[in-house]
Amino acid sequence: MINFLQDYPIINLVVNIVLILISISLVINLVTVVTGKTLADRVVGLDALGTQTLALIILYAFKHGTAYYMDAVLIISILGFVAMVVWSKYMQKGNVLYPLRQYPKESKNSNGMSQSKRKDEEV
Amino acid sequence: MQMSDIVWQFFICAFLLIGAIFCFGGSVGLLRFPDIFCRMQALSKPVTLGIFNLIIAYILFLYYTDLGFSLKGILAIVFLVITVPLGSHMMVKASYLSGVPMWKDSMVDELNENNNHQK
Amino acid sequence: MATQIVLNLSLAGIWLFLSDSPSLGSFVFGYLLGAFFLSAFYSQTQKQFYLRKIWRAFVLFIVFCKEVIIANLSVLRYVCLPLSHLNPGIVALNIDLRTNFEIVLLANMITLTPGTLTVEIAPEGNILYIHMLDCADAPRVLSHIEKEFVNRIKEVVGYD
Repeated sequence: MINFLQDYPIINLVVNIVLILISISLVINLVTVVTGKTLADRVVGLDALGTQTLALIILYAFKHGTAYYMDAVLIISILGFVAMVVWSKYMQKGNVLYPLRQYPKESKNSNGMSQSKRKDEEV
Repeated sequence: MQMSDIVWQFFICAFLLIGAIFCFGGSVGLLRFPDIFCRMQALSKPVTLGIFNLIIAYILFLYYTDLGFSLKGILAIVFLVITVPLGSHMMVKASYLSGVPMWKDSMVDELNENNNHQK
Repeated sequence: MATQIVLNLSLAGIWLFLSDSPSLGSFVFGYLLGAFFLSAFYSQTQKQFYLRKIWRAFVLFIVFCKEVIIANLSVLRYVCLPLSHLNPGIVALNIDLRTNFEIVLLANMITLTPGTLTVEIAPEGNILYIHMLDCADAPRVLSHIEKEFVNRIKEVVGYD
Protein backbone atom coordinates (compact mmCIF):
# COMPACT_ATOMS: atom_id res chain seq x y z
CA MET A 1 0.00 0.00 0.00
CA ILE A 2 1.39 3.38 -0.99
CA ASN A 3 2.35 5.57 1.91
CA PHE A 4 4.50 8.59 1.23
CA LEU A 5 4.38 9.62 4.87
CA GLN A 6 6.54 6.85 6.28
CA ASP A 7 9.32 9.32 7.04
CA TYR A 8 7.02 11.65 8.97
CA PRO A 9 5.26 9.67 11.71
CA ILE A 10 3.48 12.64 13.32
CA ILE A 11 1.87 13.75 10.07
CA ASN A 12 0.95 10.12 9.34
CA LEU A 13 -0.96 9.83 12.61
CA VAL A 14 -2.78 13.14 12.14
CA VAL A 15 -3.79 12.30 8.56
CA ASN A 16 -5.25 8.98 9.73
CA ILE A 17 -7.32 10.73 12.43
CA VAL A 18 -8.56 13.34 9.96
CA LEU A 19 -9.52 10.61 7.46
CA ILE A 20 -11.73 9.01 10.10
CA LEU A 21 -13.40 12.35 10.92
CA ILE A 22 -14.12 13.22 7.30
CA SER A 23 -15.55 9.75 6.61
CA ILE A 24 -17.97 10.15 9.51
CA SER A 25 -19.08 13.56 8.21
CA LEU A 26 -19.64 12.05 4.74
CA VAL A 27 -21.97 9.46 6.28
CA ILE A 28 -23.82 12.21 8.16
CA ASN A 29 -24.32 14.14 4.92
CA LEU A 30 -25.72 11.01 3.31
CA VAL A 31 -28.22 10.72 6.17
CA THR A 32 -29.25 14.32 5.50
CA VAL A 33 -29.80 13.57 1.81
CA VAL A 34 -31.90 10.48 2.47
CA THR A 35 -34.11 11.84 5.26
CA GLY A 36 -34.65 15.39 4.00
CA LYS A 37 -38.23 16.57 3.99
CA THR A 38 -38.14 19.11 1.18
CA LEU A 39 -36.31 19.21 -2.14
CA ALA A 40 -34.07 22.04 -0.99
CA ASP A 41 -32.86 20.01 2.01
CA ARG A 42 -31.69 17.21 -0.22
CA VAL A 43 -29.97 19.58 -2.63
CA VAL A 44 -28.04 21.15 0.22
CA GLY A 45 -26.97 17.70 1.37
CA LEU A 46 -25.72 16.83 -2.12
CA ASP A 47 -23.66 19.99 -2.31
CA ALA A 48 -22.17 19.24 1.09
CA LEU A 49 -21.29 15.75 -0.16
CA GLY A 50 -19.39 17.25 -3.07
CA THR A 51 -17.49 19.63 -0.84
CA GLN A 52 -16.51 16.94 1.65
CA THR A 53 -15.22 14.85 -1.27
CA LEU A 54 -12.78 17.69 -1.91
CA ALA A 55 -11.40 17.21 1.60
CA LEU A 56 -11.04 13.47 0.97
CA ILE A 57 -9.10 14.11 -2.24
CA ILE A 58 -6.66 16.38 -0.40
CA LEU A 59 -6.04 13.71 2.22
CA TYR A 60 -5.34 11.16 -0.49
CA ALA A 61 -2.84 13.60 -1.96
CA PHE A 62 -1.07 13.65 1.40
CA LYS A 63 -0.75 9.88 1.35
CA HIS A 64 0.30 9.51 -2.27
CA GLY A 65 2.80 12.36 -2.21
CA THR A 66 2.10 14.14 -5.49
CA ALA A 67 1.22 17.70 -6.33
CA TYR A 68 -1.22 16.93 -9.14
CA TYR A 69 -4.37 16.56 -7.11
CA MET A 70 -4.86 20.32 -6.97
CA ASP A 71 -6.32 20.30 -10.49
CA ALA A 72 -9.04 17.90 -9.32
CA VAL A 73 -9.83 20.23 -6.39
CA LEU A 74 -10.27 23.19 -8.74
CA ILE A 75 -12.48 21.34 -11.19
CA ILE A 76 -14.75 19.78 -8.57
CA SER A 77 -15.32 23.13 -6.87
CA ILE A 78 -16.23 24.71 -10.22
CA LEU A 79 -18.65 21.88 -11.01
CA GLY A 80 -20.21 22.17 -7.55
CA PHE A 81 -20.89 25.87 -8.08
CA VAL A 82 -22.44 25.27 -11.51
CA ALA A 83 -24.62 22.56 -9.98
CA MET A 84 -25.89 24.99 -7.32
CA VAL A 85 -26.82 27.57 -9.94
CA VAL A 86 -28.66 24.99 -12.06
CA TRP A 87 -30.56 23.64 -9.04
CA SER A 88 -31.69 27.07 -7.94
CA LYS A 89 -32.99 27.92 -11.41
CA TYR A 90 -34.83 24.61 -11.57
CA MET A 91 -36.40 25.14 -8.16
CA GLN A 92 -37.59 28.58 -9.05
CA LYS A 93 -38.89 28.13 -12.58
CA GLY A 94 -39.31 24.46 -13.41
CA ASN A 95 -36.84 24.57 -16.28
CA VAL A 96 -33.30 25.83 -16.56
CA LEU A 97 -32.80 27.63 -19.84
CA TYR A 98 -36.07 29.02 -21.04
CA PRO A 99 -37.94 31.95 -19.44
CA LEU A 100 -41.35 31.59 -17.87
CA ARG A 101 -44.21 31.11 -20.22
CA GLN A 102 -46.76 33.88 -20.24
CA TYR A 103 -49.96 32.70 -18.65
CA PRO A 104 -53.21 34.74 -18.63
CA LYS A 105 -53.49 37.35 -15.93
CA GLU A 106 -55.75 35.66 -13.40
CA SER A 107 -53.34 32.87 -12.62
CA LYS A 108 -50.29 35.06 -11.85
CA ASN A 109 -49.44 36.03 -8.29
CA SER A 110 -47.82 39.31 -7.33
CA ASN A 111 -44.27 38.10 -7.92
CA GLY A 112 -44.82 37.47 -11.60
CA MET A 113 -44.40 33.72 -11.25
CA SER A 114 -47.15 31.63 -12.78
CA GLN A 115 -49.19 29.56 -10.41
CA SER A 116 -48.82 26.16 -12.01
CA LYS A 117 -45.04 26.35 -12.17
CA ARG A 118 -44.63 26.70 -8.42
CA LYS A 119 -42.92 23.56 -7.21
CA ASP A 120 -44.47 21.87 -4.22
CA GLU A 121 -42.41 20.29 -1.47
CA GLU A 122 -43.23 16.69 -2.21
CA VAL A 123 -41.04 16.41 -5.27
CA MET B 1 14.87 16.40 14.08
CA GLN B 2 15.86 20.03 14.02
CA MET B 3 13.88 22.97 15.34
CA SER B 4 12.62 24.09 11.92
CA ASP B 5 11.34 20.57 11.22
CA ILE B 6 9.29 20.58 14.40
CA VAL B 7 7.81 24.01 13.66
CA TRP B 8 6.78 23.04 10.09
CA GLN B 9 5.19 19.78 11.20
CA PHE B 10 3.36 21.50 14.05
CA PHE B 11 1.80 24.01 11.69
CA ILE B 12 0.80 21.36 9.13
CA CYS B 13 -0.86 19.25 11.81
CA ALA B 14 -2.59 22.28 13.35
CA PHE B 15 -4.14 23.32 10.03
CA LEU B 16 -5.19 19.74 9.30
CA LEU B 17 -6.92 19.30 12.65
CA ILE B 18 -8.70 22.67 12.58
CA GLY B 19 -9.95 22.01 9.05
CA ALA B 20 -11.26 18.59 10.02
CA ILE B 21 -13.06 19.92 13.08
CA PHE B 22 -14.75 22.66 11.04
CA CYS B 23 -15.87 20.23 8.33
CA PHE B 24 -17.20 17.80 10.90
CA GLY B 25 -19.00 20.50 12.89
CA GLY B 26 -20.53 21.88 9.72
CA SER B 27 -21.97 18.57 8.64
CA VAL B 28 -23.35 17.83 12.13
CA GLY B 29 -25.05 21.23 12.06
CA LEU B 30 -26.47 20.37 8.65
CA LEU B 31 -28.29 17.45 10.27
CA ARG B 32 -29.40 19.19 13.45
CA PHE B 33 -30.86 22.47 12.21
CA PRO B 34 -34.59 22.33 11.54
CA ASP B 35 -34.89 24.70 8.62
CA ILE B 36 -33.48 25.12 5.11
CA PHE B 37 -32.29 28.66 5.90
CA CYS B 38 -30.37 27.60 9.02
CA ARG B 39 -28.91 24.61 7.20
CA MET B 40 -27.59 26.84 4.47
CA GLN B 41 -25.82 28.90 7.12
CA ALA B 42 -24.24 25.71 8.46
CA LEU B 43 -23.11 24.80 4.95
CA SER B 44 -21.68 28.02 3.64
CA LYS B 45 -19.55 29.10 6.55
CA PRO B 46 -17.77 26.28 8.41
CA VAL B 47 -17.37 23.87 5.49
CA THR B 48 -15.77 26.55 3.33
CA LEU B 49 -13.36 27.53 6.05
CA GLY B 50 -12.52 23.86 6.69
CA ILE B 51 -11.60 23.31 3.05
CA PHE B 52 -9.59 26.54 3.15
CA ASN B 53 -7.52 25.23 6.07
CA LEU B 54 -7.00 21.87 4.41
CA ILE B 55 -5.76 23.49 1.21
CA ILE B 56 -3.34 25.66 3.18
CA ALA B 57 -2.04 22.55 4.96
CA TYR B 58 -1.57 20.91 1.55
CA ILE B 59 0.38 23.90 0.20
CA LEU B 60 2.64 23.93 3.28
CA PHE B 61 3.19 20.17 3.01
CA LEU B 62 4.20 20.42 -0.66
CA TYR B 63 6.66 23.17 0.17
CA TYR B 64 8.07 21.24 3.13
CA THR B 65 8.77 18.00 1.25
CA ASP B 66 10.22 19.80 -1.81
CA LEU B 67 7.53 18.78 -4.24
CA GLY B 68 7.17 22.30 -5.62
CA PHE B 69 5.27 25.43 -4.71
CA SER B 70 1.76 25.24 -6.10
CA LEU B 71 0.01 28.49 -6.95
CA LYS B 72 -3.12 26.63 -8.03
CA GLY B 73 -4.06 26.24 -4.40
CA ILE B 74 -4.34 30.00 -3.97
CA LEU B 75 -6.52 30.08 -7.08
CA ALA B 76 -8.76 27.38 -5.61
CA ILE B 77 -9.07 29.32 -2.33
CA VAL B 78 -10.00 32.57 -4.08
CA PHE B 79 -12.54 30.76 -6.24
CA LEU B 80 -14.17 29.07 -3.24
CA VAL B 81 -14.42 32.32 -1.27
CA ILE B 82 -16.08 34.08 -4.20
CA THR B 83 -18.52 31.41 -5.35
CA VAL B 84 -19.81 29.69 -2.20
CA PRO B 85 -21.66 32.74 -0.75
CA LEU B 86 -23.12 33.52 -4.18
CA GLY B 87 -24.33 29.96 -4.64
CA SER B 88 -25.88 29.77 -1.19
CA HIS B 89 -27.62 33.14 -1.69
CA MET B 90 -29.13 31.89 -4.96
CA MET B 91 -30.30 28.65 -3.38
CA VAL B 92 -31.90 30.39 -0.40
CA LYS B 93 -33.69 32.93 -2.58
CA ALA B 94 -35.01 30.24 -4.92
CA SER B 95 -36.25 28.11 -2.04
CA TYR B 96 -37.97 31.10 -0.40
CA LEU B 97 -39.70 32.08 -3.64
CA SER B 98 -40.85 28.54 -4.33
CA GLY B 99 -42.65 28.32 -1.04
CA VAL B 100 -40.57 26.31 1.40
CA PRO B 101 -42.00 26.99 4.87
CA MET B 102 -39.86 28.51 7.60
CA TRP B 103 -39.43 26.90 10.99
CA LYS B 104 -42.51 27.22 13.11
CA ASP B 105 -40.69 28.87 16.02
CA SER B 106 -39.26 31.67 13.90
CA MET B 107 -39.53 35.08 15.47
CA VAL B 108 -39.99 37.60 12.73
CA ASP B 109 -40.39 37.57 8.97
CA GLU B 110 -40.21 41.08 7.55
CA LEU B 111 -39.79 39.93 3.97
CA ASN B 112 -43.27 38.49 4.05
CA GLU B 113 -44.74 41.64 5.57
CA ASN B 114 -43.16 43.91 3.02
CA ASN B 115 -43.88 42.08 -0.15
CA ASN B 116 -46.88 39.74 0.18
CA HIS B 117 -44.97 36.63 -0.82
CA GLN B 118 -46.41 33.26 -0.04
CA LYS B 119 -45.07 31.76 3.17
CA MET C 1 -4.17 60.96 -10.03
CA ALA C 2 -1.83 60.11 -12.90
CA THR C 3 0.61 62.83 -11.84
CA GLN C 4 0.71 61.34 -8.34
CA ILE C 5 1.67 57.90 -9.66
CA VAL C 6 4.31 59.36 -11.99
CA LEU C 7 5.81 61.44 -9.17
CA ASN C 8 5.91 58.46 -6.85
CA LEU C 9 7.58 56.21 -9.41
CA SER C 10 10.14 58.85 -10.33
CA LEU C 11 11.03 59.37 -6.67
CA ALA C 12 11.52 55.63 -6.32
CA GLY C 13 13.71 55.60 -9.42
CA ILE C 14 15.86 58.48 -8.12
CA TRP C 15 16.35 56.63 -4.83
CA LEU C 16 17.33 53.51 -6.76
CA PHE C 17 19.92 55.35 -8.88
CA LEU C 18 21.40 57.18 -5.90
CA SER C 19 21.99 54.08 -3.76
CA ASP C 20 25.27 52.16 -3.65
CA SER C 21 23.93 48.67 -4.38
CA PRO C 22 20.78 48.87 -6.49
CA SER C 23 18.33 46.01 -6.08
CA LEU C 24 14.61 45.40 -5.87
CA GLY C 25 14.62 46.08 -2.14
CA SER C 26 15.99 49.59 -2.59
CA PHE C 27 13.35 50.34 -5.24
CA VAL C 28 10.57 49.23 -2.90
CA PHE C 29 12.07 51.24 -0.05
CA GLY C 30 12.28 54.33 -2.26
CA TYR C 31 8.64 53.79 -3.28
CA LEU C 32 7.47 53.65 0.32
CA LEU C 33 9.56 56.67 1.29
CA GLY C 34 8.19 58.66 -1.64
CA ALA C 35 4.64 57.63 -0.73
CA PHE C 36 5.16 58.81 2.83
CA PHE C 37 6.47 62.23 1.82
CA LEU C 38 3.91 62.71 -0.95
CA SER C 39 1.04 61.91 1.43
CA ALA C 40 2.41 64.46 3.89
CA PHE C 41 2.61 66.98 1.06
CA TYR C 42 -0.87 66.28 -0.27
CA SER C 43 -2.51 66.55 3.14
CA GLN C 44 -1.65 70.27 3.08
CA THR C 45 -3.60 70.81 -0.13
CA GLN C 46 -7.20 69.62 -0.43
CA LYS C 47 -6.56 66.82 -2.90
CA GLN C 48 -6.79 63.11 -2.06
CA PHE C 49 -3.73 60.92 -2.18
CA TYR C 50 -4.41 57.79 -4.18
CA LEU C 51 -2.81 55.37 -1.75
CA ARG C 52 -5.49 56.16 0.80
CA LYS C 53 -7.96 54.07 -1.17
CA ILE C 54 -5.59 51.12 -1.27
CA TRP C 55 -4.95 51.43 2.45
CA ARG C 56 -8.69 51.46 3.17
CA ALA C 57 -9.25 48.44 0.93
CA PHE C 58 -6.50 46.61 2.79
CA VAL C 59 -8.11 47.47 6.14
CA LEU C 60 -11.48 46.22 4.82
CA PHE C 61 -9.83 42.94 3.87
CA ILE C 62 -8.30 42.49 7.32
CA VAL C 63 -11.62 43.27 9.05
CA PHE C 64 -13.35 40.80 6.74
CA CYS C 65 -10.90 38.02 7.65
CA LYS C 66 -11.45 38.62 11.37
CA GLU C 67 -15.22 38.56 10.92
CA VAL C 68 -15.02 35.27 9.00
CA ILE C 69 -13.12 33.54 11.80
CA ILE C 70 -15.54 34.82 14.45
CA ALA C 71 -18.47 33.71 12.27
CA ASN C 72 -17.40 30.10 12.11
CA LEU C 73 -16.80 29.83 15.83
CA SER C 74 -20.26 31.23 16.52
CA VAL C 75 -21.93 28.81 14.09
CA LEU C 76 -20.13 25.90 15.79
CA ARG C 77 -21.40 27.19 19.13
CA TYR C 78 -24.97 27.15 17.81
CA VAL C 79 -24.46 23.59 16.59
CA CYS C 80 -23.49 22.31 20.03
CA LEU C 81 -26.17 24.11 22.06
CA PRO C 82 -29.76 22.73 22.23
CA LEU C 83 -32.20 23.99 19.67
CA SER C 84 -34.16 26.30 21.96
CA HIS C 85 -31.35 28.84 21.80
CA LEU C 86 -32.11 29.47 18.14
CA ASN C 87 -34.50 32.29 17.22
CA PRO C 88 -34.26 32.50 13.46
CA GLY C 89 -35.98 35.16 11.41
CA ILE C 90 -35.66 37.52 8.48
CA VAL C 91 -35.01 41.23 9.06
CA ALA C 92 -34.69 44.16 6.69
CA LEU C 93 -31.74 46.54 6.40
CA ASN C 94 -31.82 49.89 4.62
CA ILE C 95 -28.76 50.79 2.60
CA ASP C 96 -27.92 53.50 0.12
CA LEU C 97 -25.13 52.20 -2.07
CA ARG C 98 -25.37 53.14 -5.69
CA THR C 99 -23.73 50.64 -8.00
CA ASN C 100 -24.47 46.93 -8.36
CA PHE C 101 -20.93 45.85 -7.62
CA GLU C 102 -20.96 47.35 -4.13
CA ILE C 103 -24.33 45.83 -3.28
CA VAL C 104 -23.14 42.37 -4.33
CA LEU C 105 -19.90 42.84 -2.37
CA LEU C 106 -21.89 43.77 0.73
CA ALA C 107 -24.24 40.79 0.26
CA ASN C 108 -21.28 38.39 0.00
CA MET C 109 -19.64 39.85 3.09
CA ILE C 110 -22.87 39.58 5.08
CA THR C 111 -23.16 35.92 4.06
CA LEU C 112 -19.69 35.21 5.42
CA THR C 113 -20.19 36.99 8.79
CA PRO C 114 -21.52 35.64 12.10
CA GLY C 115 -24.97 34.16 11.94
CA THR C 116 -26.31 36.04 8.92
CA LEU C 117 -27.31 35.10 5.38
CA THR C 118 -28.59 37.37 2.62
CA VAL C 119 -31.97 36.20 1.35
CA GLU C 120 -33.13 38.82 -1.10
CA ILE C 121 -32.33 42.25 -2.48
CA ALA C 122 -35.20 44.61 -3.28
CA PRO C 123 -35.47 45.50 -6.98
CA GLU C 124 -34.86 49.19 -6.34
CA GLY C 125 -31.66 48.30 -4.52
CA ASN C 126 -32.24 50.06 -1.21
CA ILE C 127 -33.40 47.22 1.09
CA LEU C 128 -31.47 44.07 1.94
CA TYR C 129 -33.26 41.16 3.60
CA ILE C 130 -31.08 39.16 5.99
CA HIS C 131 -31.82 35.83 7.66
CA MET C 132 -30.29 35.64 11.11
CA LEU C 133 -29.81 32.72 13.50
CA ASP C 134 -30.54 34.84 16.57
CA CYS C 135 -33.08 37.63 16.27
CA ALA C 136 -33.01 38.59 19.93
CA ASP C 137 -30.20 41.11 19.42
CA ALA C 138 -31.03 42.09 15.88
CA PRO C 139 -30.49 45.88 16.26
CA ARG C 140 -27.00 45.37 17.64
CA VAL C 141 -25.96 43.13 14.75
CA LEU C 142 -27.49 45.44 12.15
CA SER C 143 -25.72 48.48 13.55
CA HIS C 144 -22.48 46.49 13.67
CA ILE C 145 -22.84 45.57 10.00
CA GLU C 146 -23.59 49.15 9.09
CA LYS C 147 -20.65 50.52 11.06
CA GLU C 148 -18.05 48.04 9.91
CA PHE C 149 -18.91 47.15 6.35
CA VAL C 150 -21.13 49.79 4.76
CA ASN C 151 -19.08 52.75 5.94
CA ARG C 152 -15.80 51.14 4.92
CA ILE C 153 -17.10 50.28 1.47
CA LYS C 154 -18.25 53.86 1.08
CA GLU C 155 -14.80 55.10 2.06
CA VAL C 156 -13.08 52.79 -0.40
CA VAL C 157 -15.20 53.83 -3.35
CA GLY C 158 -15.13 57.50 -2.42
CA TYR C 159 -18.48 58.89 -1.30
CA ASP C 160 -18.89 62.26 0.40
